[in-house]
Amino acid sequence: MLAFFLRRVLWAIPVIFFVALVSFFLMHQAPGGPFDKDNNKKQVDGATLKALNARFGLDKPQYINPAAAQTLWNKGERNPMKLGGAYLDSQFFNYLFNAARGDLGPSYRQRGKSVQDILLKQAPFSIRLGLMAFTFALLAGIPLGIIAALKQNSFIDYFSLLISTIGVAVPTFVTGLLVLIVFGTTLKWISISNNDWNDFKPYIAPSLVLGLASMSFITRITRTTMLEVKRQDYIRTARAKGLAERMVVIRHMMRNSLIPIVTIIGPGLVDLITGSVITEAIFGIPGIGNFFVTSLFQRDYSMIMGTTLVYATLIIFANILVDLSYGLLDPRIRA
Amino acid sequence: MNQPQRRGTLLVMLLLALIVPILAACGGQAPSTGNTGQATAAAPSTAEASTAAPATTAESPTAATAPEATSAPATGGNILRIADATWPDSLDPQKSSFANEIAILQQNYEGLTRYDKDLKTVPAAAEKWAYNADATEVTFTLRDGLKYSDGSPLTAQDFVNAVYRVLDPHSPGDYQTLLFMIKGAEDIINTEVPTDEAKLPDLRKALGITAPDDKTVKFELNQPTPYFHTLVGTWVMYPAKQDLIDKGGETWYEDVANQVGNGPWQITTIDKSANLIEFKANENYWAGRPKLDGLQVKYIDDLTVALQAYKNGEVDIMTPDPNDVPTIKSDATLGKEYHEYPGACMNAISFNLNKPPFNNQKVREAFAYGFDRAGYARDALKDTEIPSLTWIPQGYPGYDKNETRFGYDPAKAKQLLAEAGFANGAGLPELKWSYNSNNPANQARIEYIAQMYQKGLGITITPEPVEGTTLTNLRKSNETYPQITTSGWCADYPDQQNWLSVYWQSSTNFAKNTGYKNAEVDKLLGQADIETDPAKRADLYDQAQKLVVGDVGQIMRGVSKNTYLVKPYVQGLDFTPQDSDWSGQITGTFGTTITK
Repeated sequence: MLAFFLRRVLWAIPVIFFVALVSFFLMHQAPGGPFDKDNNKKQVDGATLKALNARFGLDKPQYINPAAAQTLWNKGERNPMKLGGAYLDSQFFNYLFNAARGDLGPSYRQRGKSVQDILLKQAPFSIRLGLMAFTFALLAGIPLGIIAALKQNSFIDYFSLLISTIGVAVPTFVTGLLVLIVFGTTLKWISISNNDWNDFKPYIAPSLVLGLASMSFITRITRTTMLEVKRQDYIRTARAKGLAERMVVIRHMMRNSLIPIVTIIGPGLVDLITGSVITEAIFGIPGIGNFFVTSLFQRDYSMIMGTTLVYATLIIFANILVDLSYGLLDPRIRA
Repeated sequence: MNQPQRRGTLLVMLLLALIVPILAACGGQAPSTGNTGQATAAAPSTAEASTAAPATTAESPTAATAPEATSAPATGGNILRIADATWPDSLDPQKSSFANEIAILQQNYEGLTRYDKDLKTVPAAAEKWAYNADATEVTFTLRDGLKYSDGSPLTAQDFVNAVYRVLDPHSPGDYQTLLFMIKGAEDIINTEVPTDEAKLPDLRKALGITAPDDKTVKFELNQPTPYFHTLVGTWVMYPAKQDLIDKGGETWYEDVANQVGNGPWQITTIDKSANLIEFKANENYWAGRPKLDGLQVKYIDDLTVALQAYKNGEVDIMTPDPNDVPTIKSDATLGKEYHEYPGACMNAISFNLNKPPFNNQKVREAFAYGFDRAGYARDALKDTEIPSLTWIPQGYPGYDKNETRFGYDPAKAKQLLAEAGFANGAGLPELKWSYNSNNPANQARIEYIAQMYQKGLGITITPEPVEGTTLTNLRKSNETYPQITTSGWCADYPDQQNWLSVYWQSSTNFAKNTGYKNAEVDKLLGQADIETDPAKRADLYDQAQKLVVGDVGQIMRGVSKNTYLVKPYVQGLDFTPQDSDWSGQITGTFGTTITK
């Protein structure tokens, strides 16, 4: 188990390197740079741009710097470490080395702040929202799916079908606005603009909105797998040996139907934490969701890389945890 | 028997592991930014107070005399609550370059001059200024007894420091070009750091800005600059306190304690976790304190949500989404609270003037006559634009109200197109209209234009979506400049120079990129920029503008409208074209009152 875990963690390193390389390459394929202004505004002039690029290291070559190594060689330097260092004195490798040390670089858009400071400061808001939405999705989705499966074709089954169809089909910007209009403007249960996001209460409405789609998905998957498991021979065996129906459901049916759910839990959780752009915008939560989109438009290179790497790392580790948890649920996988 | 039991506990622990961090995360955590506790706690109570107790009178004398009011934000209805869209990331006068950032700085700081509601440049920190005969030297005299909001003296040196900060080769401000006419400015910005670090002190001494005494700021300029007094009203000249900046490091601007200003308002809260920036009245402002006790700017990304907050009585001013405007106008209550007035941007249609078919003046004229400005503004833009035939928008110095050329005339357009050899569009090369695809609304707008030209002139245009920054970069050289594209210009400061010389002179980037070159325009603008007689100067700009319009270097299309919903109890707001984020922003809501 430990060896399996370590192997997976080590494998994560080349994966992250590759993710970094690909995103760096793609990001620089897009024309423009972080100091471009709106179309209708005066652009930064040449001298200023040069000074800004020098300030942020954007005047260096993108991947390798043979010129610097050559200069050093001509100066009589023969230390391979120093020569190699000069050769890799480029935007990409400087970024990687710094990132490995936990320094994700300065944001070009938010002057004077580093990407890790911004992410560390804003991520807790997204994490709180994501975890609450996720808890709601699990606590509502799984029971609803189980009941729907046990009482197949009953009223509650159709009700769960209705709820989950709505949840999947109606986009968050519609449900979000609907919730604001009904609970904010009409009923005045929640406030639209006077929310302190260090508090717990304001998160309730947005997490229900955000969690609805995941809940619907989990409900459907739970129902389907439960129905499948219900017809298995070992369920009949369990019943035949006289086990109480409650035990049959809990110990045999649920356990076995959990595997497909666990598979989607890891990536689903990461999705909820990072992918809440719209929910965050509607409810005004100062999380990291919008950085994923706006940093691209702004060519805020270090922010693009920072968010991509954080997302990649979260996904990878969520998947490792999911793989580990299989073993807990199904002894056959543990081997 | 034992084993399943154990696995059951593991499952419970797995669930617990999921839930524990949630509980931990939801527990109270101290707010991380700015001056918080008190001020954020006051925010909800303010809203409650304003709805629960509408009887609160404006301008209670006790509030006005209250000592150094940290309690000021709690006085209830006497605070103007503004909804703005995007959180200002950087609140550094010398580094900021985005409208939402400048809007905040404008309340907290004040330059040597400022702009009044008619966009005239008026005395601010400086009570007067004087040019020498050829306008190469300007001397500003500060008011007596100027103070920062904390009571410390504001002197001429604080403005000199601001210029040093913009022109800092270590970390230049994006807008330092505004000050390039100051003697020695370019030498400083072209200094290689850290290689030539040692030269900087001498270069600063040689820089054409000095403070002979505490009340005098003197500029020496490379060329006559008769509009310099307007330039120093821009945000790059705001005198942020140098000692606080030095102490605060690179992110000094995030801490309200460092944002000690000299404007009518003083920032008291910068709290991103509540999407809130708050101001209190500056008791030390030279003109006395503003009538209101404070301002609250709340950031709400989604305009539809902001509208709900407005309907809910949580904010007093907001900008509606253009798509909601027709509904708002027809609403019995909201319709009366809706205000619109000309804004700071001219929207136009620009061509690559070096590539066929738009290198042909007749083709451009045909496109200009064939453009139904009124129809486009009404149908495609939901009436959020005022059709215009000239370049400088109404409300700005230099507006030419007599321009009548190139109004909508499809017959004339057809005739001109035939004269150019492309009768009914036959023989025209494939036409691609590049537009910024970041805004999803643009697609329908360009489709509308394509159909308009198809119907009117028989021309086929293919809309081509391009990502925003990519489009900006395509426009950076004439080689890649799109055939035809929507374009425009928004004022940085109210002067003809900013509309004409910065844009149409053939040496500027804009003219170079589109390929515009008219020797006569160059000559007129060159003369106007250094002309010290205001009447002659205005006349020269006027002549240049007429030539520009006549050349159809661009099709002038319309002025953006400023559209705001304002609660009826808010009185005395100045509606100024330069307001980018809320009504009254430019004049600082100094005389605004709230009467409920």
